[in-house]
Amino acid sequence: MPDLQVATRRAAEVVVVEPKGFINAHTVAEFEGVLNALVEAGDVRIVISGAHLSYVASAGFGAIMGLIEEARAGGGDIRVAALTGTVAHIFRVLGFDRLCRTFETEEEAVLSFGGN
Amino acid sequence: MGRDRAPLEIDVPATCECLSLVHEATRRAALAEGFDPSAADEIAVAVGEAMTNVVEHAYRGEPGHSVRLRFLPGPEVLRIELEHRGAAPTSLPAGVDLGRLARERRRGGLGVHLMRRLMDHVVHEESAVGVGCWVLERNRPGSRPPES
Repeated sequence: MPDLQVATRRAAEVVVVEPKGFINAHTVAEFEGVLNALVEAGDVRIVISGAHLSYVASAGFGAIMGLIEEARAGGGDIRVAALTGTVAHIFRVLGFDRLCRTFETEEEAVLSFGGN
Repeated sequence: MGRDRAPLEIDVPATCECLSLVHEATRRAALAEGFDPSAADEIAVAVGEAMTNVVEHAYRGEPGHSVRLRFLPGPEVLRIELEHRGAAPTSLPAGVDLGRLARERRRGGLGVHLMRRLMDHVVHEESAVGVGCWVLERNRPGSRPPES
């Protein structure tokens, strides 16, 4: 099984990005490539579902940090849902809960774009 | 690995491909030292950040280098060292301004901050013979409540 697989699917005008595995400096190119392609294509309403992530190193959070203002400038945002365990803990200790809106479930995150 | 065992030392190629190996070895060592699964995961992520720093900054991604990883269990702390012969960091940031980094579209600059948030003590030491070493320590359960 690969270290990281990144699936995407559409939910209304939102794209849900679902990485499975772990994101570190070795695997981040796969994750970042998907996010880059979405933002460049104008798909700037993005939800990242963390339900299937075992861990995320700073490289993975850096990929979000580097693109979130680009998405916002295009009228969208990058929001995060379903973080668990160590991933949720690291998200908080890095302070990403102040940079990035988070939701308990993917559905809540998708619906949040209804009112921006 | 118990508290009275000898240090464990392994040499690892300094490549990003080896990050998952280092993560798993560290996680297992921390579990064997009595840390709970959450703490073991955090220690493994922190050591991965130090390894990434060595690969990307000390050796600037050049192939053919290695890192010596040492697990040094003590009575109060688990000390982990990553010894290398690459360039030393020019400075270690005291903290990060995420908002500013995001506005500048920066993708890096979080690694040292994350190490410090997950561990109780993080330093980079240099010897006179061009050997650098990241030193990371995590207090044992009961020594100090883990940060939440």
